[in-house]
Amino acid sequence: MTLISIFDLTGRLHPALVHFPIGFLLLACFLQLFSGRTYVKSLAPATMLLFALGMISAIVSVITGLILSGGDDYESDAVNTHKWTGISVAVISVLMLIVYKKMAARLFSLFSLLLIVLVVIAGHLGAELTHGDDFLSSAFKESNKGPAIPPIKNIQQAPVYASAVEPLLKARCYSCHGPNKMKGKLRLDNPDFILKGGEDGKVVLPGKVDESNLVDRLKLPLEDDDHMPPRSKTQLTPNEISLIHWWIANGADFKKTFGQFPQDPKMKGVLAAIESGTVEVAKAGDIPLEPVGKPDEASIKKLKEGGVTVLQIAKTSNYLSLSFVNQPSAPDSILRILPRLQQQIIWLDLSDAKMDDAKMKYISQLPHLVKLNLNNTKISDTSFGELSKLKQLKYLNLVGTGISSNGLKSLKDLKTLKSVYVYHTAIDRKEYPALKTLFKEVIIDTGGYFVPTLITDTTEVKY
Amino acid sequence: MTRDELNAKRLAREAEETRIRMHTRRHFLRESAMGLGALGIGSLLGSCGTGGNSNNYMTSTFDPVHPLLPKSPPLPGRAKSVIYLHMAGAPSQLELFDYKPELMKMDGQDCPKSLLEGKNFAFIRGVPKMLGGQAKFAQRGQSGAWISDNLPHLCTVADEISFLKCVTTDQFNHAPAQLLVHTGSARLGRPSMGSWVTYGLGTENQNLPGFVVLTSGGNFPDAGKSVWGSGFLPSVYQGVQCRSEGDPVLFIKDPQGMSRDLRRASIDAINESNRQEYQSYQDPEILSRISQYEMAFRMQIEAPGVMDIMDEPDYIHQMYGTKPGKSCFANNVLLARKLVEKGVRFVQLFDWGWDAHGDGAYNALNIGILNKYRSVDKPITALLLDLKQRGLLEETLVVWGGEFGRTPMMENRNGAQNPYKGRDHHTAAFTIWMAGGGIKKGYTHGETDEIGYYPISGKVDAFDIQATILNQLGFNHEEFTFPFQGRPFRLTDVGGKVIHDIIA
Repeated sequence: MTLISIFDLTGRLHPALVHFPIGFLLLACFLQLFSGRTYVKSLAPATMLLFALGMISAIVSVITGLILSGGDDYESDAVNTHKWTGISVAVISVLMLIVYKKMAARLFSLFSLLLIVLVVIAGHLGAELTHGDDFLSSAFKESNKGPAIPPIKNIQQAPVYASAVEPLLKARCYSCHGPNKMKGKLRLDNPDFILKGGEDGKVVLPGKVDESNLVDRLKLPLEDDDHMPPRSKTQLTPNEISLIHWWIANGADFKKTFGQFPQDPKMKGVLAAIESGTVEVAKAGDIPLEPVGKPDEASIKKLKEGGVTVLQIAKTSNYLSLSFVNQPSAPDSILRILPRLQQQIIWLDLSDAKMDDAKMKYISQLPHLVKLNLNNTKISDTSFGELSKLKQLKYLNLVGTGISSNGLKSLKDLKTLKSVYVYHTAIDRKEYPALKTLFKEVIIDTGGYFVPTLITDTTEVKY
Repeated sequence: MTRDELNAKRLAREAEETRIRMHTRRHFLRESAMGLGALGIGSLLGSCGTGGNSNNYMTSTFDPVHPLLPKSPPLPGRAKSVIYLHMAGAPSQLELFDYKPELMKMDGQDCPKSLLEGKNFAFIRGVPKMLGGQAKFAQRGQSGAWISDNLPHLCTVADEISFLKCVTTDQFNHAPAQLLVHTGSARLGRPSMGSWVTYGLGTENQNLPGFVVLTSGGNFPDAGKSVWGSGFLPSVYQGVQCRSEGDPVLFIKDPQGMSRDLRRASIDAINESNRQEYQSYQDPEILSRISQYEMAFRMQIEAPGVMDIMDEPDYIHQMYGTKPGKSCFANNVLLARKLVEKGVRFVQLFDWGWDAHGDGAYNALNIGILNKYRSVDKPITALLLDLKQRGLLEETLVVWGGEFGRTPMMENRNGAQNPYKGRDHHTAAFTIWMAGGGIKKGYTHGETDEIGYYPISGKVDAFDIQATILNQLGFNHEEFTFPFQGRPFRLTDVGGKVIHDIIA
């Protein structure tokens, strides 16, 4: 152990030692202020001793405090005020001890009041340095578990740094790497500081995300001592980490907008979550990224009364998922209501329902449909005229219907289509290669899988 | 006195007793004292607690009148339903998925001391011998996942699956380990995963239970029915055990001479009496009971049809390898597919008999246990393919696994060599796999050391798996709670991290 580290240790004891002057001096002042009362009379002789102990511990606290602030972890502005209130506490307590009993009791009590005020101020300022300046006020705030980035309107036009990265750093990093505290000599509260780095060198290397210590630290396992933010603090969500990663990988530009950066599908999902202000979205599946208005409550009520299951796809979304599992007759009177919710309905399950080609005219009025189950219904190739109007369709289940490959071909212009299930239809497995060349990007599952029966499947090992 | 009169008299006496029981001295005192106090406390507490918490997540979504109505998940989910295939007794990862050539070289040697120090085993005592994998391995499909010859059919669908090679647990006995996997606690009393899910999401088909349990292998799982119990959740969310042989649910048929109208009338009468009971006690469990009677009545019509696997065509039976008229795993798997297709939320299968200790030929790795592999390989493969061709695999999460793994050492029960090749319970690393429901296809997560003893990377535990299942259904497992005994409880207790690596 070197002399310097002992010195360092002494400084670090400051946050613990300060509780002694606070306790002693407040108690001493209390005894002084209420010295006339019977219930403290018997304690009066202790007043002097308490002032003395308070003074000594105040002086020790000041010394250790000065040593601590010598280290560069703390910024001077906030430290300065704390330093001088702390020193004045020590000075006044020394003075009070000197003039004790030589001064009129009234005047002395006035000094006691002043001392109380100073002790409280110094203590509060010190606590803000250790716990962060929003430590007390955050008790009144909503849980800070919510998204660190406020919802962003028109995300493609919004600047990446100012609208997302900066608020994120502010919420999760500034308290230790900002104007009040500079742990590891690192500040993240403006572009210059971010690029400058800390005592271990640069933390952000634009474009070189693998060498950027900032991302490394975020991605370390939570148990790792070098993980940031520290275990006890609110962590970044996977989406937020993806955002930082993406921003640095694309050059960590401080001016560009979201639209100016390349976006793969995965990142699009992350951005959609950030745009809507949700904490985390199960990775973007079959959900449109654009937000939508509230659905018409009266229509929903009618559908529900008619036995249709109507659900928001998530509590955070206005998009709707409809299922006819409890209303398999799917009468015209009910299907007629669907177009009134055409902005919101994206999933529609008509499996096993009494659907036919005539009823498809209601379905084709739902332009936002992403997922459509028509399996085991009576629809035929005639329906494809209506089906091809669904320009957002990704998933189409036609299992057990009367459709043939001729009908299916009319869907080839649906660019969004991802998977079509045509098991048990008039489409033969032999037509599969032709369909596969026609639908290059689409998985067309003709089913009819076969699991052979091996000899071991039907015999048992005897013993 | 005729029998009817006697019965009427008994009923009248019982009603009178119930009435009197409600007005004991203690009752009177409690009602008068608590009434006033509760009035004051209630108004005080009304403003705090979970009620004031204005987040989007459910704290209590229990609607006692319609407990099983489908509900929106808090977040958009990728899976709508879950089929969980549990091999009770713990299958050996070293004979199925975890290929360890180094262990083969050590076969028959004494186990190094370093692996035994400070370890507790269920049966191994002293120094056991190492035991190489009792199977031929090869990499399968384009993903190159290691699967042994013991599962020749599953090899063909390797590219649909995400393997978790380093699942760990801290329980080395069957019952607590099963409880941990399915309820998030090794001790009794917590709700099972299926109960949580039906509590959170309800179920789509109102004529079928939301959470169905099917067992095979000749025995219940060691932890008993608690692995599908509802714990402190309302009892309507407990798993409904069904059968693939005979009546799907016991006593689902009306007895001879009881018409549908008479059944309706008797249920109405029971419900009315329950409603009166509810008026007096205000216990929401009574409302659950009423809705359970109602569901049972509807189930009488729907269930026999859905649950009869005999209406499936022959080629489907051949695909699954079912044994019509008997009770077996293959039948249950086919039934599970039918149920999910009809909108059942959570289907849980338990297949008993995987405890490969090697203390008898029936549970020897190279004899009796081979029959277990054979009985599940074809149906599970058929399930994945059948769900796929019906377009259901995208939204159905299939999970396969046991409660722990098996040691790389050959079991020497109480220090003496077992007569057959077997392995003891192993907690540090075993394999569970998932497929469908938004899980990556053809992916392997985690790696064990050269002998499959400890995890090297990708370590996950039961809570992580539960968190991932809930995530796929649209829940943040940390926000999905139920208030009980004065605090919110969650399935994952205080643990669990979503395994993002296996999510597509």
